[in-house]
Parts: sequence; structure tokens; C-alpha cells
Amino acid sequence: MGLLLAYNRVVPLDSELIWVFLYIVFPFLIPLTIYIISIIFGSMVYSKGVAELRTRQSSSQSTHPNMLCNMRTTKNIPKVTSVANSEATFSPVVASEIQSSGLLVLSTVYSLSTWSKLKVAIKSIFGGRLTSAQEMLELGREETIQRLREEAIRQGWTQVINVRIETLCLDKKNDRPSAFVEFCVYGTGIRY
Amino acid sequence: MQPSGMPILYLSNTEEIPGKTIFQTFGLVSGSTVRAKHVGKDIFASLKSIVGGEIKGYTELLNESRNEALQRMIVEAAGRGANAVVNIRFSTSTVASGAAELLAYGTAVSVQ
Repeated sequence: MGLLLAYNRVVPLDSELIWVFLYIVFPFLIPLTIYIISIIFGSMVYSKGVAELRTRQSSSQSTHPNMLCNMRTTKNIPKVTSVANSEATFSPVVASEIQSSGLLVLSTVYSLSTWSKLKVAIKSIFGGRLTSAQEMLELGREETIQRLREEAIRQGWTQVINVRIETLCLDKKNDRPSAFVEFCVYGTGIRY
Repeated sequence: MQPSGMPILYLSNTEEIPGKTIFQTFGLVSGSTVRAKHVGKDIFASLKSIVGGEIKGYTELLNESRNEALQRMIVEAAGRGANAVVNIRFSTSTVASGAAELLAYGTAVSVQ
């Protein structure tokens, strides 16, 4: 605009608006659009994921209750086949009864939305709880555990013992919030 | 999954194969792969990371490479004459931004 005035040219109003748009509004427009998309669709993706996960969890929990555990040996684990396995009738898994066993590994990669990454960056100055990041990580982890459960059901294991959960930042650059988080869940399936 | 012509390997991340007894150990075996991101998948992944949630391309990539690392560990164990690997652990580390190393390790044993 200053350049145009220096040439003593008459600048019409609409042409000036174009320059204002190009130099002031436009540079902010792309990040703004990304953040708006991130806010609207991010919460949609999250709530859809949670709703889907809950129905799958309840369906597999009703057919195969207490399938996963992270105990290393089978001596303190009650059998899952007897439906009403109360404290009075505690029957542990006997090693000689186990017919076969096998390894189960699964991992998923999850990402925080751009909006929650911004919130993480702002919050890390003042400290405090990071609810949105926490929610997404919880969803990812529960989803991975649920997939392991479904995979174990599909392969026909009765129970999965010694389940371990690992979390890793895949794309961490210096102090910036990590873009991708990997959840790795593994365990030993047993059949009896 | 397993290469043909090899003895069936029992795999477990517990200290023993459930229902079996260990009579011989062959020491530590490990297998690893380093995988870099795919350019096409990378563009889609960065677009997907705007809204967050699962990145399916990377999930597939990592599962694939973890199986490959596991496979290398199995080959090493079979080469030593073991028929099982116990106490398997997995670890992942980012060697550079955009490349990840996947490592599987365990103890090669013989079971009955």
C-alpha cells in the first residue's frame, strides 16, 4: 500500500482491500483454517472412536470376561471358563492342563490433533493437566488392548497372560510435542 | 509366518512355555529392523494428524516391521538348534526423525 502511494497513484478502495487481504489476512488464513478443521473434526473423530470402542469392549467382555491379565505365571490366575469363579471356588490354571501357547503382538499409531498439540505447547509453559492429550492417549491404548483381545478371540486362545504395554513417541523433534505415538501391546495366549 | 522346513518354535513372553519344561538354553537371541516412513503415506499421515486419531498407514507399517524383526529372531534361534524362545521383549527407538528401529529379543531354549 505504501509503495502505491509513493507513486502518487490514486488507489481505489476495492484494490486496497485486495492488498490488505494478501498481506495481512491471507498469511493467517491457512493456519486458521487448519485449527478450525482440527477443532471441529478432531472432537468428532475422538467421540466416534470412543463410541465404537465401548460397544466392541462390551460385546467381547460379555462373551469372554477377564481374558487378559499381566501375571507372569498361571498359578494365581483363576480359570476363565467357569463363569461364576468366585473366591470360594477359586480354581487356578494348572500348567499341565495347558495344551498350547503362543505369542501375540499388536501395535497402533495414534496422533494428537493439531489443536491439542497447540494446547500442549501452551500448557507446558504454565503446567497443569493436559486433558485433551490424556484423552487421546487413553483412547489409543484402550483401542490397542481391545484389538489384542479380539485377535486372541479370533485365534482361539482361552486366556492371555503376561500382557505388557509400551508407549513410544515416534517423531519427536527436540522439545516440540510428538506428532505420532505408538502403543505396543503383547502377551502370551494360552489354551486349556 | 514361519519359514518352511524349520522346527516349530514356541514363542512366549513369560519365563517359561506354559505347560512345558525347559531343559537347555542357548543364550540371548535378537532381531531388528529399521524402517523409514513412506513418502505417500507420510503426506496422508500429516493430513490425518490435523484431526488426530489413528494413523492406519503407520500402524500397518510398524506391525509389518515388528513381525519381520520377530522373524529374524526366530531364524537366529532356529540356527542355534533351539525349539522355543522365552521371555520375549519388544522395544522401539527412533534413530532419526522419520525412522524407527524395532527390536525383538528373547532367550532361545529347548523345551519338552
